[in-house]
Amino acid sequence: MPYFPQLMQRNLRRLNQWRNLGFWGLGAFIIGWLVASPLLSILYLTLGDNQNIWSHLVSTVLDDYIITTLLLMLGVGSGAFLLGVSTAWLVTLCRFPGRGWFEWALLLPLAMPSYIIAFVYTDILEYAGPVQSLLRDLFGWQSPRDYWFPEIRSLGGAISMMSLTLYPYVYLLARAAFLEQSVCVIEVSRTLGKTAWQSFYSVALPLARPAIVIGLSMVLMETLNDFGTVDFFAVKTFTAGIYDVWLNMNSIAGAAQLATVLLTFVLVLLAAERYARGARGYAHATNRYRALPGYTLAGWRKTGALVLCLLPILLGFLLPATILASYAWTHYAETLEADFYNYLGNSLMLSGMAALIALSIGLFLAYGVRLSQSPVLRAASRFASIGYAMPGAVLAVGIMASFGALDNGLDSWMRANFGLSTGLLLSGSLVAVTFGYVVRFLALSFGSAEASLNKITTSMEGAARTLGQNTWGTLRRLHLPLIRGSILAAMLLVFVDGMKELPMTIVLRPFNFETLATFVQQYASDEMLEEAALAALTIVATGIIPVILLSLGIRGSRPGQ
Amino acid sequence: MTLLNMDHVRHRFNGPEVVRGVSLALHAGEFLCLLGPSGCGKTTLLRLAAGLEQVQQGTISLANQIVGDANGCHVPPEKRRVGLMFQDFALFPHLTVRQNICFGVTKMTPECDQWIKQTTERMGIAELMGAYPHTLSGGQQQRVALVRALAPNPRALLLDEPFSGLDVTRRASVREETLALVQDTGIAAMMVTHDPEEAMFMSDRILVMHEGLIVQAGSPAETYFTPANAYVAGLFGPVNRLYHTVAQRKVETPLGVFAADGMADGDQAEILIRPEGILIEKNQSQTGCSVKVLNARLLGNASHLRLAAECGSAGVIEIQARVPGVFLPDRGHYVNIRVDTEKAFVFPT
Repeated sequence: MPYFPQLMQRNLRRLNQWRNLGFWGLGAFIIGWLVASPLLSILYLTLGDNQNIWSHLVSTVLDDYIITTLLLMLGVGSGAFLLGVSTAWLVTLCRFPGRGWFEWALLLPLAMPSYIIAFVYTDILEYAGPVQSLLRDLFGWQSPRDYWFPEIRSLGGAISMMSLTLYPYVYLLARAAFLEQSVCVIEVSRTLGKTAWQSFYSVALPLARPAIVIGLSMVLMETLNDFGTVDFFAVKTFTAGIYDVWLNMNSIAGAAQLATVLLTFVLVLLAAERYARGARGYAHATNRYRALPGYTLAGWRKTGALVLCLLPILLGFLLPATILASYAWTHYAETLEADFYNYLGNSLMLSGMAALIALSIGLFLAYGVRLSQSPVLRAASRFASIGYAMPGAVLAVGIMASFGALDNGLDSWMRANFGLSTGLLLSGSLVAVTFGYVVRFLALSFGSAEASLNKITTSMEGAARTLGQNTWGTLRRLHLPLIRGSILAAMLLVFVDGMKELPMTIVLRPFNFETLATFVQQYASDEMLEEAALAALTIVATGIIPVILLSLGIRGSRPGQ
Repeated sequence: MTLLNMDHVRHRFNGPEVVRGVSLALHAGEFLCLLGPSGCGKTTLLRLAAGLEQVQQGTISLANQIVGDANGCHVPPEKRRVGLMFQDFALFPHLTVRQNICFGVTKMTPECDQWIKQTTERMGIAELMGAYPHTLSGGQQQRVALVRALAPNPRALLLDEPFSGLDVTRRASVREETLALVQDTGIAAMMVTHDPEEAMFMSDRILVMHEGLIVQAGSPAETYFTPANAYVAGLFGPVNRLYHTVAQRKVETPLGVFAADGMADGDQAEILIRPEGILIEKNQSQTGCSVKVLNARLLGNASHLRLAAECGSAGVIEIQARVPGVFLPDRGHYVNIRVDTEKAFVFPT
């Protein structure tokens, strides 16, 4: 049968083809499932048996959680908007002394996790702190009844702390949007009889709106993610509530239900962000660019601009960093004694591992999407990068639930088949923490890998293929060298976010395993901030890296120049 | 020997077919040209031949070996030994000129090294070997891309609009160098272009493509002098179009009488006359006619005339003529013209 081998060969070819496509498809499918598993287990738990905890939550604390969370979002949103947009406008379109410095220094508070400045400000503003002591000495007050002083450990305090550390997101995007705008449209507005300020409100601000919405939604996602600040200030937000129900009421189902409600908040933010990204197209009203005019400010305007730009840097970075530095100077020995190097090593290892894994997976997904051009794969990878919007508390509940189920399943299977108990293998292990980091920060690495791959033309790829390279060779010799810079930057961002991470680490870490962040949190809760200052300062110092990257990146980003 | 063979190839990208059943053969040592406007499917054919697209229908073979068919056979591009030169040159920005050229060379033999040395010297890029692509001019980039495609000693060279990225003054010289290098190498080449002049200049054989089909295959002279239809005739620039009815297998027009072979009496015929097919006569001849000058412009080595022929009841028809040298009669003057029948074509409408 001469036909037979031919047929076999053809079938083999088909199998090969399927396998080629299947490699990326299967990989993306597995990653998608893994990343979605926390979310799915939360939904599963929400629908499952909850021993009436839900009705109990509804009748007692749910209203409180919703109102507090909304107030916090409103407060932080407004604060970040006002600080971010005004400073962005000033440094982009006005000329005043120190503008060049402000341009990048305004990003500095980004290096400061809000829980750390919360610890610092509590330390100096509480009753026994230096500020109130000084006031009492100055005015001869004896007790708290003699005077009024704002309570830092309050909702208002949390709003101030988060606004101060999160406004740079809005600043960054608004500034980029103002830079992208053509001066022509503002000049047209001026010639049509509007003043500079009227032009700002009626032309520049609406054009920058999509960018500002993106920045704000990032701020609000971070607000929802925060645990350290609200926990320390005893502000009853959803995140605090989830941990309360989970760890104190011992109900993971109840925690999952709260997490589901919190997820609806996230969905609204995601929708807003998506909408804004879609709407960015209209920002480019014209392709003609001219040098930005640079209104030179004088008199009270100059002073006002200086104060407005200096204040957030001073309060959000310089002051807390100085205080931390002085504490670290006087108390570094205690920190070192408390096993600082061990915690530093843990932080470095955990963040480094997460960065490496997130980068590999992000690159794998991005390259797979590009190779296959398959809409299914594209959708799967989009889904896989949704973790950035999920608050750490939600992820932690989901990971704990799914890993717990996996552990229990494995344990009972092993016992049934081999009479051997494996116990809890994954829950409360480093795998769980690392997995949490990767899920949450995958979007960073995937996004930047995809964006930088998109800059490589398909004909370059075709040239490499026709010159004898297969897909892996093309990745190695063409893509990797070309995108190295930006994926390394993305890896660094993941690393730094890992160093700061608190809400997931605190519950997912193995027993007695401390990172710098959990160490600082624990010491600060015990009113021993001085003894942990060196660790806090280390976190802040790593946080400066992305600030440097970002400030280098926004230079020269203006089109047409 | 047939080097590349495409048999009844059809292709689509999430929409209507862009290639609708194309068969072609590229012979050893031949320079073949796919000529057609953008969107006619010619670049897709190149990508299919190189293996950058998978065959959906039909068969493609290289040196009598099937490299792609509808049954899932797909030899990946890196295994085909086919060089492809891209429209945007696709030089790798992170590699120097030398690294770009050597990218596809798996084993650097003394012969290969020698070839690269000679060729880069010949193309005038030998001093640029250490430079990065972004520092090169368009013409230099084009030459690097050409040498890079040839360096791995491919079986065939495919060129996708290789000159469209260059400015007009540079184009002619680069074209000549490219042709000379390809001819000296003796490699079979298939080029895609939308420029008929370029196709005529470069190729031994032209395949004219229209809406995913090959509408004519022939030598440059055949394509120019005996176009298969009005579309092919119109490819070489603007033409004068007249419409008349066939009578006794002829069409009579104010500009002369043309044979209408194979057409029945009463059929409507389209007569296409190239501007260079309008000849100026010193005296009124029997076959010619007298027309009024509307406008005359000098193009450099030729003159462009807009003429009006008064045709009694049919009104006035406007004619474009292209006359060699300087010929600039005043507006409103009358000149005598005659039609060169070699440059006039009659097709059924």
